[in-house]
Amino acid sequence: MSKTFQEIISRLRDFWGSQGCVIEEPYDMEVGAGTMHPATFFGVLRKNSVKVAYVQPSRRPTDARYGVNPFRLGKHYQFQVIIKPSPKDIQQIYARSLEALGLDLTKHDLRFEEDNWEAPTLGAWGIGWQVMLDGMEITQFTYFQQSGGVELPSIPVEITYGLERITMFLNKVKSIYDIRWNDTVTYGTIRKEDEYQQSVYGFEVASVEGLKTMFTIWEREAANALSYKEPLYIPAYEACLKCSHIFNLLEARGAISAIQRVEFIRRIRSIAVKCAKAYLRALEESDE
Amino acid sequence: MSSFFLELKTEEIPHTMLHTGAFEIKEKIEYILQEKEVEVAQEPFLGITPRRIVIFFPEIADKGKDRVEQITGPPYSVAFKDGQPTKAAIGFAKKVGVELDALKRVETEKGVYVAVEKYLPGLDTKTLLKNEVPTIIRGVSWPRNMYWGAKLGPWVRPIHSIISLWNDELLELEIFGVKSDRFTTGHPILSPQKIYVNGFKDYVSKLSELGIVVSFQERVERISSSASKLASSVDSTLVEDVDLLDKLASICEIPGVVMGSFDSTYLSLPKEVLVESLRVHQSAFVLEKGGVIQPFFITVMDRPDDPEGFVKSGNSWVVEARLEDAAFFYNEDRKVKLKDRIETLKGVEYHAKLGNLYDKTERLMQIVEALSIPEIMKKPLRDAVQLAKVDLTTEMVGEFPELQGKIGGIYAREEGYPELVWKAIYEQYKPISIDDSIPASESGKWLSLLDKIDHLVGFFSIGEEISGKSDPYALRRTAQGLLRIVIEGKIRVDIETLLNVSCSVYQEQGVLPSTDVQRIPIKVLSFLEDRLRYLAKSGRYGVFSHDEVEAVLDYLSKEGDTILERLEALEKLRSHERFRDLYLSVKRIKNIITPYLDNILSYKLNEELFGKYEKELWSKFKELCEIADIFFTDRYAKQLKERFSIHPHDTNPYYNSLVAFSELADPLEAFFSNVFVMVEDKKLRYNRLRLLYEISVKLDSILRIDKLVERRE
Repeated sequence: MSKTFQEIISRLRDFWGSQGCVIEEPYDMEVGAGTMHPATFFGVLRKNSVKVAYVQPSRRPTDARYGVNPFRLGKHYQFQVIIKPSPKDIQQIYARSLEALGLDLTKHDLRFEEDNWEAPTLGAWGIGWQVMLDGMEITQFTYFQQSGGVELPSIPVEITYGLERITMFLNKVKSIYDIRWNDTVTYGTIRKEDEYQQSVYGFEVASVEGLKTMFTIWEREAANALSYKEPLYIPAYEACLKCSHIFNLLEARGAISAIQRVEFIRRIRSIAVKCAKAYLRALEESDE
Repeated sequence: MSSFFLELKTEEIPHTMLHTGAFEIKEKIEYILQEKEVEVAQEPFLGITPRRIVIFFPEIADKGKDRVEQITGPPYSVAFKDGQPTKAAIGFAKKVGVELDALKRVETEKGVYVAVEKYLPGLDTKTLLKNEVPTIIRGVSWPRNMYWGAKLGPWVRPIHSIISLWNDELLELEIFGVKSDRFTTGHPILSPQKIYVNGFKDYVSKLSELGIVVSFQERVERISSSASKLASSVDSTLVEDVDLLDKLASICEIPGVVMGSFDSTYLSLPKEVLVESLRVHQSAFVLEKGGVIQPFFITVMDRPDDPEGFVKSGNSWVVEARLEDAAFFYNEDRKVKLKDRIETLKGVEYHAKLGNLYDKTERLMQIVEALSIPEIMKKPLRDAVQLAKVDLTTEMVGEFPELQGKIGGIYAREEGYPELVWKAIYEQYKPISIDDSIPASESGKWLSLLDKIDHLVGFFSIGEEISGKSDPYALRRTAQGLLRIVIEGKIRVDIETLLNVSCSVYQEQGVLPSTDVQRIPIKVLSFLEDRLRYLAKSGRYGVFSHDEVEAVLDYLSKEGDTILERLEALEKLRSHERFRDLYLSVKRIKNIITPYLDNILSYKLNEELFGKYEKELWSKFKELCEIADIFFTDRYAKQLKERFSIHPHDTNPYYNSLVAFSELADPLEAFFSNVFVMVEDKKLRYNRLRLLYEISVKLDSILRIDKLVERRE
């Protein structure tokens, strides 16, 4: 039953592909979570149905631990599924996705424990659970209620698998870095140096002044893109992602006080909300 | 008689909301039945699992009671003139739909009227339920609702199916697009097939064949007994935890129990960390043997057994991972000494307007200096204050926020700080709730007290007082904690002075404008008084009446530690046979002197001006003062107690001395009957007033019995 990291990814892709999901590729920018991929951010705002799944590398500089801590990473991989409107039997479909990973659930304990979700920078929140398999949190399961500050007209379900966790757990390895990526290469070989260097950079080296300047520049770029005669909400949203990542770095660097933190979040959310509104206006005009 | 059976099948409802929501549905159905006078012959059953709310009324009347309702019309004198019906009578009869001869003459409080008795047949229960149940279910006041699918809801979680049977026949309902039917399903993984349900009995037996226990209480009992059995299989016992047991029974419908283990090297972690990690993160019971934690834990699984051992090995793996994480934090944290963390407090905000934790530490340091306590306590307290907040910069508190204070205390102990220091840090946030105990150590009481003074003054200074129910900065809890430390911990402290000092320290830090320095302590003190009223009436210390509580409020700011004894004294004193005489005398004295207080204060008593009755009164008073003093220094004073017929077990000095002072009633009576206080001669007048004043001041210093309200027997 031992599955490598890449096998697990391809099994999940196959499973959700067979459920009618478009299998997209990871977004090619730094994001904090699969939710920030435009396929989710814009996708959930639409009135018609959406079915999409993808892997998304997700960066959280404050969680980085120099490649030393066996359970924490500054960058991890999420497998993200978005389906809207949420199907009635989505919990059962989800359970079948675990069976696709080779688990015989009749021999395991699967439970849904309350865990609501909120992304203040995106003006998004949802209600749901963390899914526990034999006591291990392996998935975040959320019914989106709001995104980009907009109440959603029909409700998407978001299923986010923590790929490292699932692989570690299925193979009972004691450290992330011992995960087998494939039969010959470990996760550590591919990622450990990256974790170390990014930790040093994020915690010690990154230029606070430089980051703050970049934040302002990207914030201006967002405004610039949005003020074009047909508001360019996609480049604007990318600028918003830039701001969000810079903010995360500044936070890791310990350069943000609690008051400033609130203010930064407000500024990022304000771009996200504008992008969402511009997108909805464009949809209206194209009469979706 | 009929029966009604309802099952709501839902996605997992959070255990924190499940019970109140389910009870609300049951109670609202009961309420509506009661309102329509439908007899419920047998208590309904309420079954609760994370995925089901089950309600069964085994015996319920088919109809509500028939009722006769009286409808009152116009006054009789208007309705009938000379025995003949007027237009008013005819109109009224027509309006309510009866013949004229159905009108009756009734006498009411307002006079004589005409009225009609209308017969109202009882409502059909089945129809009533069909109409009301969907509204009741939709209207449950869940703390947080959601929508799902094509924006169905709002409800706590999606509803999947509804069984609704009236006498085992389908009663059609529809809620959020789900129509009632006669099917349920078992466990989502182990028995997901549809199950046809004949009735409630059939339902319970079919589910129990699948291992599903619908009764919450039964799951609690099963989990508790299986867990104890498992624990004894490794020669240990469960560390009891009622809240955890309730939680575990609320997150499964098949009450399976599993025991996991972890490497015993993790037992070298502080006990608090082990317990917190297992209890909070893994919802697991801790096992112990002779007070020592064992490397096992027990939790539930939503299944009957663990045939391949996956659940056991999975949970054990997670627990070890968490403990490994904790061990990592523990080792990292100890690389930096507590003292070296003080500077980093500058980066941890307390509140945007109240500065960071370094500022807070500085404030507390200054309040310590204002305490009148011996240096032997003050010195360790200074050390404790310096280090009190630094654990908020540790990884461990980041991971286990509930351990704030405790972690600091543990690290301080490991760094070799004396007991007075580390215990103060450890206990500084106690009591964290109304059920929590106050700090056990003296230094802990002081630190917690200072912390709370600073907290209250701070948030009052920036105008964050409580409005209505919301209390985001826990000011009520803080105030109650402070009071409990003073009252239960018997701490003699001048709260007023501390509030003043705290205010001026805030002012130095630029938080308070100078005009507020006088205003804030008064506000905080009156807030504390308000919380004292609440505490005294909560029944936690006994039962006290409103006036008794009001009568002790004056002592809060300087002698808060005596509040409880004073309350008890007042309550007991009231039933003393001589209380009434003393009470009336004191009232009389107050009435006389109150208008002249300002002048009395500047007058000095001159015993040479005393006449016979004044002399007698004064010497009796002097004697009783000495006796009262003895009662305060010697709680057992046997002979004195005999003299006043006080029971040897009565050691309350407030009570005893006021019983003694009741001997003052006679000479006072003689004084009032024979001496005219308000004489022309000013010197004499004020001398007499001053005499009464002296007595009043002395009695006030013991108990304010004048604040009691006379009870009518």
